[in-house]
Amino acid sequence: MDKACQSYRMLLSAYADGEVSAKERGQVELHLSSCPDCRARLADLKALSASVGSHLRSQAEAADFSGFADAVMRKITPERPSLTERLRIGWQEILTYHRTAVVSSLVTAAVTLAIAVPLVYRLAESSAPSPEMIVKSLRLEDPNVQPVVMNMGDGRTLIMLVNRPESEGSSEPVDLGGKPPSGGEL
Amino acid sequence: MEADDLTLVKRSRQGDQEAFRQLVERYQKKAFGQALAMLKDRDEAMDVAQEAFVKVYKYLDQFKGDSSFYTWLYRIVANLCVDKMRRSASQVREEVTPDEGMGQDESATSGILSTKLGSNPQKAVLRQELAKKMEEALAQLPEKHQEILVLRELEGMSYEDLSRVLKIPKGTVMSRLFHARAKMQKLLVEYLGEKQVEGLGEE
Repeated sequence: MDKACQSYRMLLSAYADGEVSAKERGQVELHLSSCPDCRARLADLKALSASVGSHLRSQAEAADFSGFADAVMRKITPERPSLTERLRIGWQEILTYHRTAVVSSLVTAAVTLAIAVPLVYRLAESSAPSPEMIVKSLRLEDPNVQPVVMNMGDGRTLIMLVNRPESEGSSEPVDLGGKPPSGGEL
Repeated sequence: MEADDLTLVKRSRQGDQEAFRQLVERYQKKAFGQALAMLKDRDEAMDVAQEAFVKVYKYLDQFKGDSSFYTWLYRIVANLCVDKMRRSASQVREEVTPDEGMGQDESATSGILSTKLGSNPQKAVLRQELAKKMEEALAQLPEKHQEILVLRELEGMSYEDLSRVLKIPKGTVMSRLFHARAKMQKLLVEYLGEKQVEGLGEE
């Protein structure tokens, strides 16, 4: 390749694309008129462009575009997200934009719990009756009956009011209603 | 009369979905063709093309109308393809040649390609054998050379638009295209071998 051809090589590619100035076009055409090699190179460039373009187009044409637009339209108009999804997103937004508020209220809640739980527990403990104290005393107003206390074996105690031997009548049982007075102490 | 791109973009922005559908249908093949040329996988290219339109819709407000709609769409398709290629490590390819400087071995032949492709190169590539060679040759090119060839030969993008889309000066557009073609031509001549491809002579 002689020097003149070498200098026209790059310009020839732009010339084939119609992307040269009027002045350059004149120079290229003048050179082409006297250089069969460069005319052959220009033919190559044109054949290459045509075949590459045609190849790429035929590749794209072979695809099935019947559902393409529908698929795109579905994606740009998404259905309303599910409740769990909305909650998740909502929670994420809260954590992202209101982190300080969330953290401080969580800390407050934790401190409140730390104080309140033992307090309530202690109160509950002190006011709950112990099993031994369910029946503190038994006062009998009728002098004709006397109490008979029976341990049932299953933790329950049965107190029966029994007529004293001198009076007639049946005994009358009093059930403590299943409360477990474990000690059975009256 | 068909509405132009800018009108369709404006209508889409106002919530006219039918207008956006028209844009999708107008450019779906181009977007897909471009993604296919870059990714070499039809399913992936289809996904990328759809994703690109979804992105376009999302960012419609950012389209100023100072470049063509397609130039803008192209940038989005290209970015998505590059992302995808980066993610699949097997596709990563090193770029070995710079744009500038004249490779002495490039395009040493003259007239061989046009002779082999015959008088109707468009028709010639429809033959399966040549299509396969073309595919292989394109795949051998560095990414930036593939990219500029696809934009120029598939889309017919002007040097002005190429400069804007690829963010390179017009002079670099010219030299990059020249080198891309020289490499492609060399590869094709090698693939096509010495003898003429059967049936490609005179059409």
